[in-house]
Amino acid sequence: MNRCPKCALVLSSASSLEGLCPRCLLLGTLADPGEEGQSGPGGELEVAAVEAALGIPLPGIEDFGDFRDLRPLARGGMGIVYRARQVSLNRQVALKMIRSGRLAHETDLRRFRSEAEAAALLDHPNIVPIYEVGDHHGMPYFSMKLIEGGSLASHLPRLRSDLRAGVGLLMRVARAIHYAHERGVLHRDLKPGNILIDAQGEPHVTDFGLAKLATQETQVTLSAVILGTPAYMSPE
Amino acid sequence: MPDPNPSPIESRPGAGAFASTQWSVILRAGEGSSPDAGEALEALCRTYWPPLYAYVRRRGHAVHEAQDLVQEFLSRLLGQGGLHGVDREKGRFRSFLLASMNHFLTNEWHRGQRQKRGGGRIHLSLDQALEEGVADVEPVTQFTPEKAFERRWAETVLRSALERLRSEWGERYQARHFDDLKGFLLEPRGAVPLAEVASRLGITEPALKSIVHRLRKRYGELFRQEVARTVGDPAEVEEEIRQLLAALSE
Ligand SMILES: Nc1ncnc2c1ncn2[C@@H]1O[C@H](COP(=O)(O)OP(=O)(O)O)[C@@H](O)[C@H]1O
Ligand SMILES: [Mg+2]
Ligand SMILES: [Zn+2]
Repeated sequence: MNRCPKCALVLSSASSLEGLCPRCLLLGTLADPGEEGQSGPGGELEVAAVEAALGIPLPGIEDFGDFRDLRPLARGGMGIVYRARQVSLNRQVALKMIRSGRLAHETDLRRFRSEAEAAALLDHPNIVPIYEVGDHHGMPYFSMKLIEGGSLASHLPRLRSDLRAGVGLLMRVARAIHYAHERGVLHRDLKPGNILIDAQGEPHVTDFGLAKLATQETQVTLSAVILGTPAYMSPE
Repeated sequence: MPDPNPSPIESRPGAGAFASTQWSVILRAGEGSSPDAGEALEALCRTYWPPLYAYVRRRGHAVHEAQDLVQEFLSRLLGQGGLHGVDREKGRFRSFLLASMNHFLTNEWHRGQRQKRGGGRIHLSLDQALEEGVADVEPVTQFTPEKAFERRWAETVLRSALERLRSEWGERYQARHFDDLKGFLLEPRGAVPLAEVASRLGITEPALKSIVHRLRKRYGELFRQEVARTVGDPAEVEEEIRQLLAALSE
């Protein structure tokens, strides 16, 4: 006779419960569901990681203030980026929201706001422009120019075999970063996933989520930021 | 009269997405008022026949006879007017079904009406279900017919909730991961090694914990919804759960 190893209940040989013991299962519904893993700042990051790891598709949103037909473009560590149509101006935009929305941790909210603020200080052809910052029923968001060619991460294989294009692209990124520096904005998270490539192959720096206004901060030199990133180094 | 209008349950926070209690399904089918009612009732019978079958088997009927009896019973239940002479004021669907079956076995059957069998609106594929082992009755042979019924009943409700959880998971997440995760629904916790499953899923342990938390919470909600569908009054849910637990204690 087949018994549950935990509670010794006699189990059906061919259980209707996918091999789970009904008694232990029922007891599970009476117990506290358990701690939510690590909470506090970063808890949502973990959920994001799980969802990404599990390949969970993000749902679209039909209607969001002035925006319609939100379709998920990507999910980052903290945010979700949608492509959407802005009704009043009849244009396509990218909309970034904090993924945990109303439940976001205060530190995430602060980072989200400072991201928009830092980016809004900058007006450069190789930096993704912020259009507006808002809050729709408690969901903070900002809209920005939609850059449709994917991030540099997906262009790296091509650029590795086309050094000239790669170097030209890096020069423009370097100028954009230099420009930001001059305005006191340190990106601090420069990596291929945060450089978007448009249809003409032009790079646009985005994701100022970790940016700091360079006042008393250690001045990281431009070359250290750029050249210190292995993906940017020449094959030699 | 049990309230055929399930709104008090539906409007309960968290009770969410179920259209009707089993009671309202029965009553609507009896009145023939809704074209969907027959279908709903058929689904309901598919769900709930294993406890009835276990009961009839324990009452001493052979496999094929028991299948026929359950089939006939459910056909009558689904027929116009349902079963007469059963006290429908009993709050619990479980008690209602058991009392109805008793009534059926002691009266109708012995009045020699078995030849009418087969004319019902449903045809439950009991053979197939038996092959799948759902109606496997051997492990309950040590019990009284009532206990066998109640145990199967508890399993049936748990299974309905599990099936709903699986399908909800499958809507958003990769279905194959569910099998790695369902063991975490069991009490006591800690029996399934977190680290092992986390590495199989390619995620961190804290991430897995947070998923497990959500799964357990959701399963509890779905289970309560399923129980709520079988009782006359939402206030009876916790008591019904206690009785289901008792049925699962030897
Ligand atoms: N303006 C945009 N246009 C198109 N895609 C974008 C835009 N901004 C971000 N994305 C996509 O979303 C991804 C994550 O955006 P990012 O701002 O880096 O979020 P996170 O802070 O979560 O890393 C990017 O790698 C890119 O694929
Ligand atoms: Mg990023
Ligand atoms: Zn057990």
